[in-house]
Amino acid sequence: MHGHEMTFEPARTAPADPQAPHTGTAAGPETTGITVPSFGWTGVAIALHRLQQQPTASIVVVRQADHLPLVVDVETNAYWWDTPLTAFPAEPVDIDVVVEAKDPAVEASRAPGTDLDALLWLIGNNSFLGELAWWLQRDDRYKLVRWPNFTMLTHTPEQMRMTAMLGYTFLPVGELANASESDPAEARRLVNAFSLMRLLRAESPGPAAVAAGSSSSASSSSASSSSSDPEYVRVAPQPRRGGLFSRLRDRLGL
Amino acid sequence: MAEHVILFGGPMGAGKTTAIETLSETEVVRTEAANTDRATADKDTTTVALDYGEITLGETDKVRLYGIPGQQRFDFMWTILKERAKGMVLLVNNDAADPVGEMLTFLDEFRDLYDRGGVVVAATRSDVSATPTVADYSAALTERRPDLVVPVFTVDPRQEDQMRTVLMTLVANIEMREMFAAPAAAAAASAAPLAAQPAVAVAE
Repeated sequence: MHGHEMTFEPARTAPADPQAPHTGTAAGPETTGITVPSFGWTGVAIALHRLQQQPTASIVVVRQADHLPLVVDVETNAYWWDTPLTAFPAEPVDIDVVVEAKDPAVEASRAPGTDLDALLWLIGNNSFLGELAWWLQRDDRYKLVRWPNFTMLTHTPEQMRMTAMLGYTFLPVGELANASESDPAEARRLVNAFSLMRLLRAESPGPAAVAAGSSSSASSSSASSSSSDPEYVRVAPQPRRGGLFSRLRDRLGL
Repeated sequence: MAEHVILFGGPMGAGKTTAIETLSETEVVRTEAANTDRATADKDTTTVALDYGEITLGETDKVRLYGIPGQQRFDFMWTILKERAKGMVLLVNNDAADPVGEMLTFLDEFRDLYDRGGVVVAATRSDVSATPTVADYSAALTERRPDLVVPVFTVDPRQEDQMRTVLMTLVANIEMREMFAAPAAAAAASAAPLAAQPAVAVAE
């Protein structure tokens, strides 16, 4: 099982110009030639999660190099961004995250936003550097509240398979990776994304069940555990090859 | 050769025939007749017996795709096929008068498949009507069966990648159920051989 320590995989070189835009979430000295770890979308994920937990009349504004600002309104589950999600920058450069109070005049003039789920899927999969989101617990067991709308999300067969497991039973993230023979980091990314999309419920090893990264919003109203739910069924690792799923995947070229 | 029967069900006009045509590697056998129920679906023809397509997986497996008639007066066909089916793609037309109610009606008819977890709901024409949302369908399903998490997707049945996602999800769900049911049943048998057996055993 993997710990909670952050590992710094993707890195970028610090800007040569000390006046260059500050990255709101990066750590370490900004000195020419020094490699500074980048948290990428992690700061955005944390800001969004905080608003999900404590709904306020606020928006998240994300600025980064080479893109116009991204505006996210958690309250209405919408976002505004000129960048299409097909061009989503997995490793954003010079990212800056600000939570601002809503301006009623601006909100009134804003065109209808885009549904947030597809953006949350991408942010969840591209934050925390493959570690578990800081609000999730390694030993907690997770289960889907509902499936994501996978026809509208870019996904892999492995993600689909892990999702089917989470739809059936409560699993700790480590066991999810083990049972599906998936990369543990990919399992953590998937759970992070589902948590951000408020599609999970959680069971602690203790008695209480809590929503996984969810507030009392309508979208998580079912995110409480029933006493009749199985805690989880321990399963042996399942070979990815040989079943109908894998043969169909091969046949369909996925 | 192992055969895997997948049903495509749902009300008339939901896109069952199109979905099978999109997935099938062979020309789909269609059994359609003039539609005399224009009030329900404004199209020229409708399926009166079956649509059939298939996907061959090497020399060992064949996935048989059966579209079953949407009108309830042909429900004798449903009875014949659901005994053999591994799972069902339930297509519902999002701009129908009561698509959530139609979904629940069909699931009641196919309760045994539903109980086995072998159902995926595919909402068509969501570009025409944005509601109900997938969350709306899921909420109704959860209310009906809190123990099951049934996948619900929006689809364009003409889009091959979307229909592949639907079919793969259905198969993944069926395999997961089989995978988790085996150790659960074994644990139940060893834990309480003389007592009433729980539906799902709990580890730890």
